[in-house]
Amino acid sequence: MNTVAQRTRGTDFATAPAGRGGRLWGQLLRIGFAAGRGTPGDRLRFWALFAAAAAVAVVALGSVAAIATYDGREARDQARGPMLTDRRQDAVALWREAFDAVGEVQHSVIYVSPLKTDAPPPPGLPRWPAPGEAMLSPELVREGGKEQITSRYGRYAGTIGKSGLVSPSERLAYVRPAQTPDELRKSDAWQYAEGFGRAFPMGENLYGRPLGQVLLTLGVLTGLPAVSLLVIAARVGSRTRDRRSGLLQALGGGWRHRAVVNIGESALSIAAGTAVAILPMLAASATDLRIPPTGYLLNSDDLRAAWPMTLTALIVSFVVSLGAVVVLHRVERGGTATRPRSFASKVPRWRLYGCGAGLALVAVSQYFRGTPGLLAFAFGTVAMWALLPSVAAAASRVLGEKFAAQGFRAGRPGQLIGGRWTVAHPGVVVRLAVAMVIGLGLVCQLQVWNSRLGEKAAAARASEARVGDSLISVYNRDITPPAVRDLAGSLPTGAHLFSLNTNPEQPAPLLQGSCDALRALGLTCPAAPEAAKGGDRRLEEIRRWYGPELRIQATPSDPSLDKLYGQLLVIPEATGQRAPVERVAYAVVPAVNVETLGENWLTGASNKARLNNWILLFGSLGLALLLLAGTISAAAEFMRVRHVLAPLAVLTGSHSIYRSVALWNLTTPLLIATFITGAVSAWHSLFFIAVVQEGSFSWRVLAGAMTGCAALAVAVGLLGGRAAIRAARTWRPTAD
Amino acid sequence: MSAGESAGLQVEGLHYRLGERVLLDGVDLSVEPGESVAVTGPSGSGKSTLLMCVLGLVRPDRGAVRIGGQELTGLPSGRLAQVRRERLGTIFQFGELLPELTPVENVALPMLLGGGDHRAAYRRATELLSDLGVPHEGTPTGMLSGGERQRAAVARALITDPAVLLADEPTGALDPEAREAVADLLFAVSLEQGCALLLVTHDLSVAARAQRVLRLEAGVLTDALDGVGA
Repeated sequence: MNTVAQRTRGTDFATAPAGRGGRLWGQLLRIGFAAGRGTPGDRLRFWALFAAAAAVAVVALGSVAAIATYDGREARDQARGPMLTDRRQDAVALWREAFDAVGEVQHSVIYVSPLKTDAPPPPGLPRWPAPGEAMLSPELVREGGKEQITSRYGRYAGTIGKSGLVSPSERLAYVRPAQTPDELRKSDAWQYAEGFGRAFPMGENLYGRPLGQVLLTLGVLTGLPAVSLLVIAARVGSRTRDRRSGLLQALGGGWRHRAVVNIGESALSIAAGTAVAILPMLAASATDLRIPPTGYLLNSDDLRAAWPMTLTALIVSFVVSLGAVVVLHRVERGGTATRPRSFASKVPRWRLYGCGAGLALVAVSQYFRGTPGLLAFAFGTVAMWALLPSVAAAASRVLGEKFAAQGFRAGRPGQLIGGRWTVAHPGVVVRLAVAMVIGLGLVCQLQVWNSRLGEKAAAARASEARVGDSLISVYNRDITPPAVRDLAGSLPTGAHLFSLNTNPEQPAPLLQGSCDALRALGLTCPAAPEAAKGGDRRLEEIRRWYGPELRIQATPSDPSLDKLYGQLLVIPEATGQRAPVERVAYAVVPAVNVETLGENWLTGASNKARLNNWILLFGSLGLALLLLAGTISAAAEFMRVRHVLAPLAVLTGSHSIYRSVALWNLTTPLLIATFITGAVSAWHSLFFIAVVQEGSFSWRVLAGAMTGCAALAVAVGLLGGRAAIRAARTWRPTAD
Repeated sequence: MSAGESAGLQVEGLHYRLGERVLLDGVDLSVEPGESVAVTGPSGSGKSTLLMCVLGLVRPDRGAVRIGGQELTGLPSGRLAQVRRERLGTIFQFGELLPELTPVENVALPMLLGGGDHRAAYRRATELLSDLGVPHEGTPTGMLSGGERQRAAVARALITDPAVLLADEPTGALDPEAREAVADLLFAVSLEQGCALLLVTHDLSVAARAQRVLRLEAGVLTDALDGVGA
């Protein structure tokens, strides 16, 4: 006997017309609540709704966190921005911004020199740094340990407080040069600041993206999968709900009554899922939480300040999830199912042609130049990836027929049934394959895009591999002859100083240095410029970057420096000397640039890669949700058909039949989808690389991703089999 | 009656209590090979529980169930499943056939699950379906009529040549015409094949065709005609 029917006894709609009195609604809610706990197969529905509600709430809270964080960032950015002025008499400090890098990550170095010592220091600083002192952000100290960052800009005088950083993970330095303000003012790079408190993009804010873009990325990459999970979860367990709805309808209940019962049935799981989603928010509000893989530290103060928005988002998320369950529960005229649909018989043929057309479009895109070629490639890619799951399903279908035939011939019931189910329900495979296909495709594309450094960055990477930090460039237009002298005098022992003039009006770049320095590169000591002849690897590197026609000249004293086209080159005696070179360079010339050759190209590429990490984060979250949705959908489908097999399995004691059927019905088609997608991903990525002639394809990444998908395929099969066995064990003949 | 004396079904002193409610209160029942027994009774009287005890899906508080002389109660689950596979055939109200399989494959399934020779299974399934008048060539299971599906379910129950045939409301989901046909078939095959048929049904017209009709009420099984114990 239907347990719901038993529970609905006493709910007489004829005597209690719709809408009259609160008792009826309370009773309907109780019916729903009891149905949610008591009907078979509800565990899957409970957890599906729980996961979906949690996912929707996480996206909602993620948006809140983004908005709150951006609000906080803006406020702090505004508070620390210099209020620049041309009037010397109004100024409280000299201010200038410069850039440096730790590893390949760029950061701002703010030079300040107070003109009025009683003026308040920039936010986050407990006091003005003393001459020659530097205050660094905690993240810069943490990341720059290996590069001895605390001694790079002068004496380390402590960290910058949270109020002075747009995020706790910002890399920033405040430096007060040892020179007096009068000395500093000789350079026109310094500006007067009459205080702090005007928006002035600096530090991390230079590399961020607008809030709208973040919300859009979160919405598309994570929000949409969360909604699809919600839709699938809302339809899980429709068999029992159909019967209940039919009963309510027969008793004279309307859609409102059904809605109340559905609310009662799903409210607990949705409330639990929504409540669980607050845990990460609570954690992030209690302490600054680092978000992998971006490395970004959320400011807990910002999140705490946004608690009313958090609460509202939770309520909205709960209502949306609950509303979706009610709205998505249709009672069809025929009284049949609202269960997840599967294709009745065949995968529509146009999808296969569409995928083929997309593939062809990608292939011919190389013959079109400019925008048409790009459009062809983009359209082809979208069509191909969107329809690829259907190809995988069609292939699975064909193979399903073969499996079934083989199972029939060999008398293997699991293979026979699994094969036939694959033929009959390719939609199950399509739903799961969608997530896998998007996942594999995205992983490969991200890897390829990240590997596209650009020509210069690739050259810089190669240069780094060849000479490392045995060739260091020092440049700044404020480097004066006395500064060159000071620098030459304080370089680490054995280091040689050169000047390189790359003025294009010269016949060729000119490298100047003392005879000792030139000899250290295996060169002669010409008094007049002459072509450099020698094969020293550092010399080769200079030629690679500045031209093969490099000339050399010995200078009797310190090398002179062209203000516009000149730079100093330091060649230490051994590698690993970069930190001391930087230290002396910063001591001599504030805001100087100290780099290995082409390093700024690498920092640019690294900025791009770090932004991609956000796409990776939102994308992988979304993929996980899509995979979960696919798995739940497959499990629901599997649970639906288990009813038919249960009597035989129970009576013959052959529970392993479920495992075998799940293997052939779920695991095998998914493995096929994995291999097809892997092959297409590899082709697509290699094709892309060939067309743009840039980047590299990592077979290891593809192998890793495919292994992940294969493991998932096996896990889904095992879980499906296990769930069906557990459910079948409780089956009893209950025909009366 | 001691073990081995009969090849049919023997139930002795079966007691089963669900909370305060006594569902089976010392039920005794014997169905000989070729004999048909129908059990009727109001809803909730314990008919299905009796069937589940016979199938070994519910362990009775006391009493014994023997099939072909083999005691079922107390057997480990693996051995129990083997006895069910080899000696019991069961027919359910809704047939429970897999629509994706052909009728032949559906009927052969119990033999395949039991690890029997598949060629013999397909051959026997084809014979049974032909004998029972179920179309089996070119018609998918999903396209069979309700009566045909139920006859296919009977064929599936018979494929292992069971000593005992259990039927749980086998005609409950059928129209009157199909009900007559399936009932005729059920009683005829049990007689022909010489297997003991235990039929649980609400339908008195179907029950009346059995050689004996018993009524289960208040946990006690009585002869429906004269009220004498079974």
